[in-house]
Amino acid sequence: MPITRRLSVPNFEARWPAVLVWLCAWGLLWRLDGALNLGNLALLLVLASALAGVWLSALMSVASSALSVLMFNWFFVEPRYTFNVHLHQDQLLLLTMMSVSAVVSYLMARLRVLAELESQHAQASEQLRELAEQLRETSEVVAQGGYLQSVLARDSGCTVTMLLLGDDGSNAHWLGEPQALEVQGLWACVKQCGALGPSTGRHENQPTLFLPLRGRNRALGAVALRAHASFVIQANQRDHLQHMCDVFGLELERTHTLRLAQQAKQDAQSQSLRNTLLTSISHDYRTPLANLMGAASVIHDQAARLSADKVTALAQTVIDEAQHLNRMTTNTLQLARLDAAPLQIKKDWESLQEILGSVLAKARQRHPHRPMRVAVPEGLPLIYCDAILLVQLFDNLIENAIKYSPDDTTIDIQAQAHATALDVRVIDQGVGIADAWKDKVFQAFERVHAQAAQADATDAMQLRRGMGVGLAVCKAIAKVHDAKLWVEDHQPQGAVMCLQLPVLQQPHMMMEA
Amino acid sequence: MALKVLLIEDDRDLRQTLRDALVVEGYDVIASGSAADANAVLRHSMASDRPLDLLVLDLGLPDGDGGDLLHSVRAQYALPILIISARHDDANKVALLDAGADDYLVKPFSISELLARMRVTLRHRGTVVLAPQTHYSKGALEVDIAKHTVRKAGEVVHLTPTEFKLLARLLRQAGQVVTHRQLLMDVWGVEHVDQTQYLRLYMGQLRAKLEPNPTEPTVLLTEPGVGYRLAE
Repeated sequence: MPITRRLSVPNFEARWPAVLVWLCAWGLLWRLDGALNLGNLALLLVLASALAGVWLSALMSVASSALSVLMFNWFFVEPRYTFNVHLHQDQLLLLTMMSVSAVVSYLMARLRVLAELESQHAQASEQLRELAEQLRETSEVVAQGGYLQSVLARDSGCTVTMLLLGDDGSNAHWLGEPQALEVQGLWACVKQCGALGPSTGRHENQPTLFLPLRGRNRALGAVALRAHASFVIQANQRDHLQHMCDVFGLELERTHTLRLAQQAKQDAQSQSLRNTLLTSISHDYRTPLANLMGAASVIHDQAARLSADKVTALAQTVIDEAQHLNRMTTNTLQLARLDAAPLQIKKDWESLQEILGSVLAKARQRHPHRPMRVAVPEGLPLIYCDAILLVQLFDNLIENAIKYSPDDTTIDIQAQAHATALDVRVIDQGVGIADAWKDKVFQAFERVHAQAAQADATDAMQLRRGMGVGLAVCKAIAKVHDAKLWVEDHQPQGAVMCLQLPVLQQPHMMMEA
Repeated sequence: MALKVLLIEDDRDLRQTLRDALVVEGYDVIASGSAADANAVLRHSMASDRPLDLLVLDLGLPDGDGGDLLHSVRAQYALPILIISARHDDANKVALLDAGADDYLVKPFSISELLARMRVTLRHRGTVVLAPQTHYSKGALEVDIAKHTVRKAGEVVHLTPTEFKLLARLLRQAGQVVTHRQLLMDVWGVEHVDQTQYLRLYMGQLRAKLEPNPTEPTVLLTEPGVGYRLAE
């Protein structure tokens, strides 16, 4: 329903009920004439006047009441068929009747206008609400603008063009085809953050109405409403149009703020990631690089004077340190990847036995003399995970266990199934991890202050050596699998790394006879 | 006569190192640093009277994706291809194996690993035309595909038909990795290529029957995220 109709002065199509009321009243008057006295008959007129007022405008209501009073005077007040009034009492009666009718008519008409206004307001706010809802349905700014454009065009009957500012306040987006003058007007409107054009107090000679899309303290765009010939937008309609523009303006500001917040969050994340990578390189890469450099340069410079065994041993150092660097690089990259895109991992149904088996095969290859004991019961449920990530997790746990416990002690790996979870424990018999460090070991580069590090190398410090990214990656991998990872003490000594993986509803299996 | 290998690797130092090492092992090596150059070598060499025996292909090339090269080579020649890739190419790696690469090696690797993979790949180059391997024995395990028998330490092991099909499929490429997809397609059929759980179940059963310690298999090896490999 076009708003032009709803916002104009109410028209009175339904005047016939008022006519009907008056006809009934007069009919009754003729019937009751003689049966009741003049005062009582006059009350009938007052009633009719009040009822007719419901359907008539104030002016018409008063006019019809006056006409009735005159007719009443003519037909019923002695001497009849004259406008003369004999009795003072009758005079007063006519006068009172006249004024009561007038007042009642006026009040009724006013009430109706108010009710009409009220309903217009309700409709307007309903329309605003609908607009806000529609805007929220899409986050695409141009689509939102297009929607507002169509609503404005429908409600005002004007040709609507729109200017939307980009995030940085310049690079504009145009909707519709603005004329050259309108382009200027739209920019001016945005700049002044106020309406321009007919009856706005500014640039009144303009035929086009410009309304800003206002946010909290600036305009995020503007619309131009080009009226067709001899069409005038009224003040209350303009207010309504402005309200609609403001709803969109606030919505624009909201999405803009949201985008800014997201950007800030991403920046902070990449900043922290960058810090992690830098710390990783400065703390953990220098030692293996120094060893590598040392061994390689000795081979290069002194090979002729060294025994063959010595050269082989140095070459082994080069290989070991290269592998160490490779592991750290893999861990650091994985940490960065999980940090940046934790949801882009490829999960599938995997067997824990297979995963542990392949990790162990590699660990035994690297540490052929280290005793390792594995206890994996048969018939474990399958787990839904990224196999490569879990391999990396267990590989790190086992490597840490090997590194931080004496060479001749056994590493135990145990798996156990519960109703809804699978527990895996990697147990070493080293010095264990102090309570204060039990949470911190999982944080990348959570280290004691540099001064403390120089002062003395405590057990905890020793423990922290080289653990920078390894366990942090384990934690990150556990997290993307909704798994828990924690440290416990092992009796009589040593640490237990516990991983608890959730067991999901098992997939369909095709069994064979 | 020495086997002829085309080594495509864009890093100059690594290319030189690998080339020297392969020459020491007695291979006839042509080294190439770009896809364009490799294509030229391929065209020339495959048409000559001494065609290439093996292609060692690095995935990241300066002038094109190693994957594209693989596809074009596969489409034209029955030439064994060994992929060498960096770790971050995991997903890509599986796709290339499915697309017809014979095996892969993740960088960094030792020269002995590369030589071992090359030997396996070269041995399988005849699989297209020659009769496939029908007999396999490793440790206490003996498999005869033709006679349909499996023995562990002389004792006959009873396998279900699916278990046997799975073992036979791995054996066809003994020493090479066979991807999940290839196994599911060949053993269960094309409609089951996503049902990785079947593989987990049947590999578990096979290991329980054939391996002394199923958790630390010596014959039926796992390549996490890629597939399985029957040890040589």
